[in-house]
Amino acid sequence: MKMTCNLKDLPTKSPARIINMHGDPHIIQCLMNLGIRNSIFIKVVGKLFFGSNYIIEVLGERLVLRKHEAQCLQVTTSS
Amino acid sequence: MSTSNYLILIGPPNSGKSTLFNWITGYKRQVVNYPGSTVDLSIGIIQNKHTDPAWKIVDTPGVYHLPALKDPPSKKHLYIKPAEEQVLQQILRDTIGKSELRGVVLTLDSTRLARQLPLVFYLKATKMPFILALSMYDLQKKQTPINIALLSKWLKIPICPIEGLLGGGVKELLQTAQTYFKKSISKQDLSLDTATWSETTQEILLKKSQDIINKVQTKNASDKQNSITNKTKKIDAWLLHPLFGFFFLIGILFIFFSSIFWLAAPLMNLTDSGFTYLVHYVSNINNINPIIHFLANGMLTSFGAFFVFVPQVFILFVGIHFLDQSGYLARAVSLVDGPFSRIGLSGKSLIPFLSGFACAIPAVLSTRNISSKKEKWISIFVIPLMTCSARLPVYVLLLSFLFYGKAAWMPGLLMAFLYFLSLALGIVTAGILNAFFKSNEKSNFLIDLPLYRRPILSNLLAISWSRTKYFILKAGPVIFLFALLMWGAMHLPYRPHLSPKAQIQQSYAGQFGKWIEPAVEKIGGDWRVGISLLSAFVAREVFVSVLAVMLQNTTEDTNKITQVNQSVASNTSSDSLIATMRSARRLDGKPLFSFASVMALLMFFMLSLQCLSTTGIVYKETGSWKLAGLQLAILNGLAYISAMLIFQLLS
Repeated sequence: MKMTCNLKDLPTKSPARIINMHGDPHIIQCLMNLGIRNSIFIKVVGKLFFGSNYIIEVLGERLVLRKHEAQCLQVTTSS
Repeated sequence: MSTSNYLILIGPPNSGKSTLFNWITGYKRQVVNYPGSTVDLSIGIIQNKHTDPAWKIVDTPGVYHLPALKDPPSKKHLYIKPAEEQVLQQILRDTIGKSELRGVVLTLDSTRLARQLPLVFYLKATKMPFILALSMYDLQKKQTPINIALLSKWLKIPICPIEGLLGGGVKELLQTAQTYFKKSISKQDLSLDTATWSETTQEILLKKSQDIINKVQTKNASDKQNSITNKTKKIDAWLLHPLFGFFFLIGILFIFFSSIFWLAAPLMNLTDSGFTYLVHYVSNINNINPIIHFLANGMLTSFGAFFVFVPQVFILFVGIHFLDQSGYLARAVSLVDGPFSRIGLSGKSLIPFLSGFACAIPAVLSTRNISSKKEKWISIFVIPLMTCSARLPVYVLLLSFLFYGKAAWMPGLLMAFLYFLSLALGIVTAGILNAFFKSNEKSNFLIDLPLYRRPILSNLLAISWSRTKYFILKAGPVIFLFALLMWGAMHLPYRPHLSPKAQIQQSYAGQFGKWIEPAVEKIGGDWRVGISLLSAFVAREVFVSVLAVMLQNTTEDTNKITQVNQSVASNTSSDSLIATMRSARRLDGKPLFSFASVMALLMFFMLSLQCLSTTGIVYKETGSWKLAGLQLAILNGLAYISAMLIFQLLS
């Protein structure tokens, strides 16, 4: 079933495609600096201690971001 | 900058830029696996017979985004440039047109090309001549080989692959630079404000980068690539586990901390003995001459007290760079970001805190990596609460006094408790500051998790030594200044005909000691303790030697004088000094040191910011005397009130 949600609500290990980047322009710029953009696949690998940081996988590489940064990414699961 | 020909090295953090700088210059400096540790720029001379020896290369902080050379006309910028981008912008502005800038060497990690390639387009837009150095090519070859000629054709720039571990390809890179950068860059040739990009343009560039990568890759991701990344993933499953990850972190930090102490001990003893010998040697030349007296008892004593901790600082840097180059530091920082962000700190504050357990000065310097001002200031404020090595001699002396003749584990246990308490106090203080310190500044935490790698020992030692040298050079002048001030206060007005006791009593510091005696009595001390506490403002550990000298000069028992002299010369916390402390009396005949007064002193040392060198560095880093002064006043006020309460309660 296709599901559209915020990255922070995406179940762990479910691959999804970024469909929108919205929110604080500073955070959007920082995300883009790290190569995160619309239409690429993204996966939440896990959450860290305290649950406020997310480990994500983009283009085969791993990054860590905070919850409010994850909120800037709207994603959709492929099927 | 002088008239030499310059090359500028630009690249994202962790792209192997500083390793390349080391290969090119032979000057080993920063090699980082943790984004953003090269905030200062470094200049090195190119060491290669194929280039003109006058050519120099500038290493710049790692950036993900190329800052516009000219800021947009609008005053409100939506994107706040991180410190690294600001430094790079300044370097480019300062270099272009003012010196012989020949070109740029853009370094990109070939294993992360899809995410880093947009920098090529940003740089192309400025019309600055550049060549592309593809680092970690040895690793890339094992994964998904790239057709370099095809990539060069697509990007229309010369490309030189560099092997990160062995430095292969550096010679070819320098030859290419020599032939490609024929003339120096002038402002007229450049497009200075084109690096401000819309989100749509950036998206197009990221997509274009991916398309180019897909075209130049000679085969798809192989099993070998999967095995390299899978290894990292398997390790991360444990080290970044939501629960076990934290236990691993504590275990790794425990090994890290304990090694700072036991590995450094022989070198510290050697340094201490060397300086003690030097002080005695210089004193014996002519102790009446004020210059020689200052050299021996002011400068050499202060520098001895400082240099004795240099081995610890070196081992600390080795440890930090080991964690950094292995790839774990980025994980450790990510692990603590969750709890730290709740008290107004960043995960990046972990590095200054780790350094703070050795010495506050390198710790304050390392806060440069924290981009948020609020997080940086709270970190700087809290750093002096960490139990630095300078407190150790004081703690050892006071705990040995408290547990004199008792089992050795008892003072050890209390020492461990003091370490834990200082950390807990730091956390509470950060939480309080976070509640009061309101800021609209946006704080973010986005960090790359690099692959685990085996650090190169020669690089590790060279970088650590380079950082230690920087620390010595940065702190040295401040220490010299305060040594001069404190020596002046304790020996002026200079009256060589007086006995040392009378000299100290009549000095400005002595008069001040008498003046503050009523306040020192509230925490269980007298004027001698007051002066010793004052002297600790040069460096905390000086408290022990000054207290020994004060007790020596104010006791009539000549045997004790000899004993104290010997104890100062060998080990200030030895039994004879403790025995002198136990027999020291006030004017009314009561013991000067009691359980209550020693506990009050311990509390005072735990909370106070006595190291004025730290205050000097805080000013340098924050650019604000107000902040440095406020920190000094608050921490010392808090220390005094807490010590007073402890003394009143226990006595």
